[in-house]
Amino acid sequence: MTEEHAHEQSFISKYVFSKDHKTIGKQYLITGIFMAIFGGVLAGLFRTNLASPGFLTHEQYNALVTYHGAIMFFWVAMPILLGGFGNILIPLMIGARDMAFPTLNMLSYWTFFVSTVVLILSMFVPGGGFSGGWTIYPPLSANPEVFMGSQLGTVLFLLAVALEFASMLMGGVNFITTIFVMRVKGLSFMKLPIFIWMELIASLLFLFSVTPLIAGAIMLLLDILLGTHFFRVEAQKVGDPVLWQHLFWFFGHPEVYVILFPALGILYEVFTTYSRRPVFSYKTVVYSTIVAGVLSFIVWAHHQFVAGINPISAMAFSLTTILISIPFSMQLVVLGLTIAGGSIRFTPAFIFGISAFAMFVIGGLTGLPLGAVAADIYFHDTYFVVAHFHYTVFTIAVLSTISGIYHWFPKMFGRKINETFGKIHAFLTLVFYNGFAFPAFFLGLAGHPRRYYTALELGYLRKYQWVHEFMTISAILLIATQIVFLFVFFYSIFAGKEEKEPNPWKSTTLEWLTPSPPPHLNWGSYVPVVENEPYEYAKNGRDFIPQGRLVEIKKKEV
Amino acid sequence: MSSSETRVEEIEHKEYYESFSVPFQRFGFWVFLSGEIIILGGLVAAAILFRLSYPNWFESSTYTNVIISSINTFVLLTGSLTAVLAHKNAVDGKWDKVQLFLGLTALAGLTFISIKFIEYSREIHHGFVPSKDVFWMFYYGITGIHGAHVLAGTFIILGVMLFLKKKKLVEAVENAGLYWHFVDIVWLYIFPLFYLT
Amino acid sequence: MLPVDISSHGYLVDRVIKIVLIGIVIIGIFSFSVLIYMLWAFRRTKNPNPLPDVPPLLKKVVLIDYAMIVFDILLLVISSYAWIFFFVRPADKIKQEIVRKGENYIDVKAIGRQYFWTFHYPGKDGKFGTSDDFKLGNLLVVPQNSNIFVEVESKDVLHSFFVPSARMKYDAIPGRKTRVWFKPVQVGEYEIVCAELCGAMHYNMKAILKVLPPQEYEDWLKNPLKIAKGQDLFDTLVRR
Repeated sequence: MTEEHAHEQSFISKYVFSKDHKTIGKQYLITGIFMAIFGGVLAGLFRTNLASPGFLTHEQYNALVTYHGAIMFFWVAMPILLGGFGNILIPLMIGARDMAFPTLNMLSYWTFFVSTVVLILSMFVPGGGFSGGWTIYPPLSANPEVFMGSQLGTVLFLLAVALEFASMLMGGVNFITTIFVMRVKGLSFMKLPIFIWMELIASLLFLFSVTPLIAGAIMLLLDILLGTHFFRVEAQKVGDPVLWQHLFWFFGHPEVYVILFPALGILYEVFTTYSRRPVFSYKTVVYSTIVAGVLSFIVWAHHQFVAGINPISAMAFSLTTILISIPFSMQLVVLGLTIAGGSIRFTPAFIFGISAFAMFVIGGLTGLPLGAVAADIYFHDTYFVVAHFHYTVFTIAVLSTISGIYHWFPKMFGRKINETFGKIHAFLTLVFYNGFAFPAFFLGLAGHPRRYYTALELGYLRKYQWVHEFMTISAILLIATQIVFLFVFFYSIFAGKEEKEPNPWKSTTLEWLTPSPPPHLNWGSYVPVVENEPYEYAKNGRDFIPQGRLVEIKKKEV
Repeated sequence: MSSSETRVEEIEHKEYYESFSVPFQRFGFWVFLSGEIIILGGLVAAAILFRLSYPNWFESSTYTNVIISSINTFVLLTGSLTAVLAHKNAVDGKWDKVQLFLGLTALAGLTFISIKFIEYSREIHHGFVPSKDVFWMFYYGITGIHGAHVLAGTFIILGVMLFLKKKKLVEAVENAGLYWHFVDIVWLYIFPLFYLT
Repeated sequence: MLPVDISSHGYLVDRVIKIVLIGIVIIGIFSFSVLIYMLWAFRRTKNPNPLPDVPPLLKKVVLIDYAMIVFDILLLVISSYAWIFFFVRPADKIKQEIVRKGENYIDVKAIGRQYFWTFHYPGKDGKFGTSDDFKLGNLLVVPQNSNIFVEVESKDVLHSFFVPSARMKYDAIPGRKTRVWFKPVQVGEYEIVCAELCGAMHYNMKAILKVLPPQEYEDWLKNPLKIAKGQDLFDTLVRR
C-alpha cells in the first residue's frame, strides 16, 4: 500500500526521486510551465517571420511550427493537467495518503523528464529536428530523402513522443487504479468532485486511444529506418499515407478531450468556490462527459474529409462530429449556470476561469463550420482551423491551468500569489490572446492556408499582411506577459505572502482539510470521513458545508 | 518496513476506505494490459486489412518455417505452464519452488528469443528483408514487437525473482504470470496469421 | 472576406458557410450576453448572499440545448446536400450525366510535386497517353462554362489541390488518383495553392487557373505551348 512512514528522507529521495505524489505533481507542473514558455517563445519566433519574412530559413520556420505544436500538446497540456494537477489533487480529493503505485509514479515523471531532454536534443542535432508538422504526416515524415531536418532529428523526435506516451500511460494506470481503489469511506462515485471524474475519464480515454498511434509510430519508424512501406509509396511498392492519418487522428481526437476534461474539472472547482453555489446539475455533467468521451472515438476522420476517405463515410463522420456538440453544449450550459444566483468574488483564479469558459465557447462553436463537411472543403488546412484549435486548446492548456494555479497555490505552497498582479495578468492575457487569435478566423475566411512561411507570395493574400503583423505583436506581448508570470510564480513560492489558513477560499472538497502544504502521507494520524455531497454551497442558509471532516485514527493492537 | 506497520495500514484501509473487491495491484495490471491489447490488436487488425487487399501475401507466407515456429509455440506454452506452477507454489508459500519455476519460465523466454534469432537470420540470409513486400513488413513488425515483449517478459520474471528475495508477495508472481499469459495469447494469434497460411 | 466565387457549385458551399457562421454568431452573442449579465448581477457587492436556487428565468437558458439540436440538424441537412452534390456523386457519375446531356467537359491531370504543379492535357484527341498530350507547369487553362474533371495525384509527398475561387480542395496523395469536378462560370485568372504541408517551399507552390472564353480556349488548344508575350509558364520554378 503506502511506502514507509515518517522516516528520514535524504534530499535526493525527498525532492529529486520523490515518491510523494505532491512532489511529483509539482515536478510535472514546473517542467510543464517551463516548456510552455519555451513553446511560446518558439511561436514568437515563427510569428516574427510571418510579420517580417526572411527572419528564419524555410526549414527553421517549419521546424518551429512543428515543435511548437508538439510541445504544447505533449509537454505542456498533458503534463500540467494530468501529471501536475492530477498527481497533486487526486489522492487529496479522495482522502488517500498517496497514489496506488508511488514508485511507478516516480518512474513516470523521470521518463517524462527524459522525453523532454530527448525532444530538446532532437532540435539541435546536426541537420536540425523534424519539420513536417506535429501531425507527422507521411510520406514527408517517412522518406529520408525528402526530409527537412535530419533523420536523426526525426527519430529522436519520435522517440521523445514515445517516451512521453509511456510516462503518461504509467500515470494513467496509477490514476485509474487509485480512483477506483483508494477512495475514503463514504465517497461513492456519484459523490466524487467533478475534477476526479474528469481525470478518470481522461485517463481512460488516453489509455484506449494512444495505443493504435504507438502501433503507427512503430510502423513509421520501421519505414524511416528499415525502408518498409507501411506509409511510403515507391514505384511498385505502395503503402498508404492515409493509414497514418487514421491512426493519428483516432488518437488525436480523444487526445484533445484528454486535455479538455481535466481543464473543465478545474473550472468546476473554481466556479463553485468563487460563486458560492453548487454545480447546476452534477448528474448531467457526469453523464454528458461519459457520452462525449465515448463519442470522441467515432469522430476522428473529420480531420480527413478531403484527404482520401470515402465521401459517404465523410458524411457519417460529419454527423458524429456535429452530434458531439450536443453533450458539450449541455455541459457548458451547466458550467455557466453554476455561477447563476451566486455571490461572485473576482479573484484571479475566477477571472482566468471565466475567460477560459468564454473563450472555449467561441472555440466550441467554431468547430461547427469545420464539422459541417461542405464548409470544411473550404476551411480545411486554413487559418480558420488554427483559430478554432487555439480557442479550444489554448483556453484549456493555458487559461484553465493558470486558474488552477492561482486557486491551489496556497494549498501547494502555503503562500499566495499577489491578487493585484493576478488581475492584471488575467486582463493582459485575455487582451493579447484575442489580439493574436481572433484575426486568424478572418484569415481563414480569406482562404489563407496553414503552415505558410509567408503570405506575401500569393496575390489574394498579400493584402492581409497587416493582419499578420498585428497578430505577431499581440503574440509577442502575450508571451512576454507569461514570462513575467513565470518570475512571479517562482518568487511567490519562496517569498509570497504566507497563507497559514488551510482553507482560504472556503471550499468544500477534501484537499482543503489538510494543512498547507500537506505533509508527507497527507493526513497524519487523521483520516477524512465523507458525509456530504461535494458542492454543498448555499444550502439551508449556510455558506458552505465541507464534504468531509477529519477523524482521528484509533490505533488497534496488532 | 516492519510487519506491525503493514498491519496498521491494512486495518486502517479496511476500516476507513471504500472496499473494492479486486486487489489494487491486479486492477492496475489489468488497466495496463488493456492498453497493450489495443496496441497489438491495432497492429494485427492492420495486418488483416492489408492481407485482404494484397494477393501475394499468401505466396510470401509460404516461406516462413512452420516447424521452427511450432517449436517456439511449444516453448511459450511451457513457459505459461511453469508460470502457473510458480503462482500455485506462491499461494502455498513454497517460495524456493517458486524461484525454480520462475527460473524455468525465464529460460523459456530466452529459448524463444534465441530460436527467433536463428529464424530471422535464416530468413534475412535468404533475402527476405522487411522492405521486400507487404507480408514481410508486417511479419517482422509484429513478430518483432512480440519478441520484444517476450524479452521484456523475461526481464520482468527475472526482476520478480530478485524482488522476491526481499519480500514474499504473491501478487508479484501472479502479475508476472499474467503478463506471460498475455504474451502467449498474442502469439496464438500471430502463429496462424503468419505461419499457417 | 471570401474570395470571389467563380464556380457553379460554390454557392452551395458559401450558403453552408453563411448559415453556420450566422448561427454560431447568434448563439455566441446570446451566450455571452447571459454570461455578462450573470457576472454583473451576481457579483459579491451586488449579491452578498448567494441565492438558494438558480433564478427561474436563467433556468430557461437550458433551452439553448434544444436550439443547438435544431441548429445541428439544419446544418447537417444543408451541408450534406452540398457535399452529396459534388463529392459523393463520384466524378465518374457526374461525367456520365454530362456526356448524356451533351455538355462540354475536359479532362486534366493535376500532379503535385515538391514544389510545383504539372497539368497533363490529353490534347485534341481527348485521350491520355497519345502523342498529342502536353504538360503545363503551374498553369491550368480551362474554358468557361465547361465541366472540368481534374485527376489529382502526387508523385512524392502529400500535397493538396486547393482552388479558393472554385471552392474546391482535395489532397494529392501519392499512390492514389482522386477525380474532382468543378465548372468555372467566369473568365479570369485565379490562384491554385497547396494546402498540405509538403516541405520548405510549401507556401510558394502556387499555380494559376486561367479561365478563357470558349472560343479563345479552342484557339489556344491549337498551339498550347506558344507562350503569350510576357507570360512565363514555369514561373515559379524559374524564380526559385
